Amino acid sequence: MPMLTGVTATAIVFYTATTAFYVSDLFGQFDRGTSLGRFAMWISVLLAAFAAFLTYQVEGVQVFVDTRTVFIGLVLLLSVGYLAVAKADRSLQMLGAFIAPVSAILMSAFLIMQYGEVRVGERITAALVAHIAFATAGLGAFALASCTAALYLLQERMIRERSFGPLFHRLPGLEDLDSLSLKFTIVGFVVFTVALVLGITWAARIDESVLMLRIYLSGGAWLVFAVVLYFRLRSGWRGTQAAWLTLIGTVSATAVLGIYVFT
Amino acid sequence: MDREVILIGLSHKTAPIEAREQLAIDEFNIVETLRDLCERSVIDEAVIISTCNRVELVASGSDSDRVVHRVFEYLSSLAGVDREWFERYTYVHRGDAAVRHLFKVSSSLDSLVVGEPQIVGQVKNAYDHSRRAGFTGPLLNRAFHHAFHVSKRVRNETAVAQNAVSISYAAVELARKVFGHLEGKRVLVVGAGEMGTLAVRHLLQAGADSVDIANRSQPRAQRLADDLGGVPYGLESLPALMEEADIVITSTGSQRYLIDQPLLKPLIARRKYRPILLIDIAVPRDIDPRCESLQNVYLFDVDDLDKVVQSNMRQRHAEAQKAERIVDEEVSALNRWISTTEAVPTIVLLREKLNEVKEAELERLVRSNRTLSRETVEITERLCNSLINKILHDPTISLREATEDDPAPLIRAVRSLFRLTDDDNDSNTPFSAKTPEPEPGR
Repeated sequence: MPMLTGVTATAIVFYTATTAFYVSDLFGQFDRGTSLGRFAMWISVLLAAFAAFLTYQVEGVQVFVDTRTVFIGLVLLLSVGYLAVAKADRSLQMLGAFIAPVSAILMSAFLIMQYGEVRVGERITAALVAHIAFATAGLGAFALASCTAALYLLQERMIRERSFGPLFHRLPGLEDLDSLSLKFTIVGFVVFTVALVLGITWAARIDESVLMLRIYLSGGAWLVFAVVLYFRLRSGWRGTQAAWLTLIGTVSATAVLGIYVFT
Repeated sequence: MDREVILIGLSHKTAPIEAREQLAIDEFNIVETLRDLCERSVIDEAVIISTCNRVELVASGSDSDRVVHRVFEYLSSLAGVDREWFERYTYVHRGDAAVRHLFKVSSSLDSLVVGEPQIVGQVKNAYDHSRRAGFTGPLLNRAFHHAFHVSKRVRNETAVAQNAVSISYAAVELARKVFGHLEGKRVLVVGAGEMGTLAVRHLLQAGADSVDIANRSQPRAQRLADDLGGVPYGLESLPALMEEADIVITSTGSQRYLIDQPLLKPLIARRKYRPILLIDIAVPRDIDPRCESLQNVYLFDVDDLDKVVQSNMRQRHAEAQKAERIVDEEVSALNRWISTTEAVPTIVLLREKLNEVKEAELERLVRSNRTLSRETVEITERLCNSLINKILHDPTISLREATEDDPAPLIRAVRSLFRLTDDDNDSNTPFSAKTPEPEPGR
């Protein structure tokens, strides 16, 4: 346990340092911030992966049954997803300024949370584990879409306010951000839909009203993204409104996760 | 006395254009000017950099006062000005200060527009002219190659040359911030103004796909279309063209708005909310400023473009401070090379002296022992060579290392101990022909 705590705390420190590097570069204070940030991000990912390994191997915690593993799963998805995107398109590296703090918060939640196994008695089935795994992956994709959307809103504001400082120069173009946010939303939506179907299948067998409430809430979050995607793909909706709706959708999905964890 | 770099010149910072044009030297007269300047052997090497913003002579010589005097004397007679004129407008840098100035010039840190890319090419041309005519030697060769290396470092390691500093290029920068990449983007230019045309050229160079030209006068539209490789239209086609366009640049002489909300609003949904960038370079403006309140419409006028340019200029000046640090580092690096090179003639002389001793002793040995076989003589010679190399190894290193601080005492001591003289030796100058010319770029 002390080792897991130590590794997790170190990962948090590295994610925080990563944030500081990216933010300092974003505001034109430290030119090498992005390259150092990327390096720190890699170390953070390795530490998070090691923490996940310790949780599973040493602590004997069942993956995607203990709610803590959801947090660490999200951290890994966000970080690795970001590193892949930044490698493919260097102009999107500044996303790290959003991904790193979110990862630091999730790692902190992992650290401070008590053991929180899903209270489902003996009814842990493959469908449940798959449901939680898919929901985590979907939420990870939505979080990436939201970080990209937040970057879009920031850059839009810079352009509208004619604020042509370092931030304007370092942030990517609006259309690139919009299109990336859409891609993440599509991936997240597909994965989240699978999670929802698995969850409904499992909950129907359990027949517990409290579980059905959670499913309805998840359905609500799913609906927000369904609306976003419908208008984006059907009517060509994009820009500020799409970015705000993506953020709202992710907040809803995160709220569902919160309800799962804390009730 | 050791040679040093001396730089005499005037620039936009010290002299008005009237003074600069008085001293400007035509490209075709540069070689002749260099020949005249170097004929009295006061100046050993010289390069003249003459651009619209500066006229500078970079020279090397053993007596910098005489070099300066010679340059003032020659140039004042050439330009028909007196010494007072020179003192008012020109600057003289010697040694480190001269090298630092040369590095700053070639890195565009001393330019009117900091970071402009032309200056390094102009310095390269000036150096090339002089080198081909035989007016450069090891010192200036090294200094100029080092200057090009500094320029490259500054360009790669700082953002001094990044971001637009012209109104027309600012349009490209804004387009990149709206669209990210310009590949496949369609440009519509309304009017045939010069600035608008220039902006379109930059957009096409940056990857924009196609151009439509809408103009009141069809023949002018046709001419511009031929020039830019676009398609000409009349102004009545504006709504249809705007439905397809991603970037619209207007620069007409119209006294009323050509594009307003009633025209643009119905297009938004028809365009499937694709962003549209409107750049209005015209004064009075061609686009109603209220258009910007529409969704996914980004409108910039000439003042906005100027703001981009001003902001970029400020950033370039901030980056120039980082570049100055690179310049300082490289001045030190060049100094180290110069110091090390000062020991070379002494090392060469020392080796030659020992070789002479070896030759004489071998000759004496052969003369006194006629029975010695050829093989024995060769073995003895190899032994001598090996001894010389081993004996000289440590003194050579000591001489090279000592020169990084103050070379003179040790060099003098070695010369005195071994009674080394410069007679009949072309390596008597610190920068002899035995010093190889540096590789380009370093």
